[in-house]
Amino acid sequence: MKNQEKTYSETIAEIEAIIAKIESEDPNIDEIDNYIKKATELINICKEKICKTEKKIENIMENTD
Amino acid sequence: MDTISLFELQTAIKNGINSLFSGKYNIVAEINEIKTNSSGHCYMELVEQDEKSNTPKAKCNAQIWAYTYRMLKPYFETETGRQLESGMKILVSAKVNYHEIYGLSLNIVDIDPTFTIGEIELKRRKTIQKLIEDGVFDINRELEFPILPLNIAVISSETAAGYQDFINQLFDNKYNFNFKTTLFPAIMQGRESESSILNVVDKIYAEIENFDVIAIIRGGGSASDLACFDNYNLAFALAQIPKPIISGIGHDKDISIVDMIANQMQKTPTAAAEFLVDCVAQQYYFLEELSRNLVNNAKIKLQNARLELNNLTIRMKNEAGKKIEKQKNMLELFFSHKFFPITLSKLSKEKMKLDLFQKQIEISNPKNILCKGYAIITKNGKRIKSASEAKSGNCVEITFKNGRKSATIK
Repeated sequence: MKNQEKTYSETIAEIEAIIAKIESEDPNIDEIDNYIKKATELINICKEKICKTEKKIENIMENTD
Repeated sequence: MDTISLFELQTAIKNGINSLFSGKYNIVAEINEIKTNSSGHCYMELVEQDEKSNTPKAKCNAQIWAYTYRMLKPYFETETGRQLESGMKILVSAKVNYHEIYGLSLNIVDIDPTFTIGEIELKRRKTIQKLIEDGVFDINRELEFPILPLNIAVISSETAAGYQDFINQLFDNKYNFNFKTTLFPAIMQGRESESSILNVVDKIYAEIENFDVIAIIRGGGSASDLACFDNYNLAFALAQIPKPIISGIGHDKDISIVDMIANQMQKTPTAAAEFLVDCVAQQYYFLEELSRNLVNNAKIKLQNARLELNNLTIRMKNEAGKKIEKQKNMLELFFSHKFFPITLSKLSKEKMKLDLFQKQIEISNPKNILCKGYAIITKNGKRIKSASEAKSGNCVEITFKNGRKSATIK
């Protein structure tokens, strides 16, 4: 998927942009819906990345002991 | 005029001489010529040379009758080691004799060998002195004898036993050294030896650079045979040869003048050959030892180098091992105390940030407001935020939590 090719930083920047749009601009309800869906999706992707990284580090820590 | 016959004259002279010179006289003279006839009588021409001009100032015939000569000859030869020969100074006891036909002569009845020995020795000493004064006595001995005397010019006679002994000793040497000899044949005794040897000396000069040494070789012989090696001209010429001379002139007692001027003197031809072989052998052993030392030294050096290398390798492994261990410990510390904690902390912060985003979205979501019973009024898709924007007669849309309705502002 397109967002999975983006880096973590790029994804965070996109989330921040969506939130800014929701807060400052005057979208209609449908658009808000889409924005929220998109943002939630992106947040979940980031959370997944973080979880995976945490697991990797934990594995390394176990192996070096 | 009174005349007298020749015979009468000769007889008168004879008588006169006989009466005047009746006894024996001890006479010193030099033999100019000497010969023996078939009857055993010895005939000589005696001469006295003027020392300055070297020309005869007196001459006389002499004879030793066979019965006397038979005794005198061996006696003289035994005592002096030499034969009566021309050029020899002798002291004789003789009677003056005058013959009508043969004229004046001396009849030798005895001879003193010690005088001749003395004369020979005197002549030798004079020869040596002259060679010293001419500055040539020592010059050949001052030349450096080569360490490898392999190319030899040999002055000798091919038929002489001494020459064969020399060659055999040289070429049958036990080390199989390769000598190269060039024979310059010469007459090695007698009156002709001087000119013969001087002649070959000239020939040697023409090829002198081909040789390391010059060998003068002849076998043993009587003092007469070896007399030529006391000759001044021979010694003078040989001394000046620019290559070292080795003499192998077989002699029992006295050494000759040629022996004295030679760079190396050996008693016999065999000894001369042995000397040459020993020279080369010495160098051979020296080189062998050098090469042995070289090999040993190289072995020791290699061994030391190997040991050093081993030590260095062990040190290197130890040091490298220590360094690697240190680095490993540092890395472990880094990871356990810095990297992991910092990374996990960062990730944790990111999670909190994401949670915050989530909350922000929820707060910003208008649907949450609608669920609380509020409605959103829009006109042409745009939200009406104040009463002043709602004009009478405007068609608006009201969005509720569960749907939408259209309405007109009154």
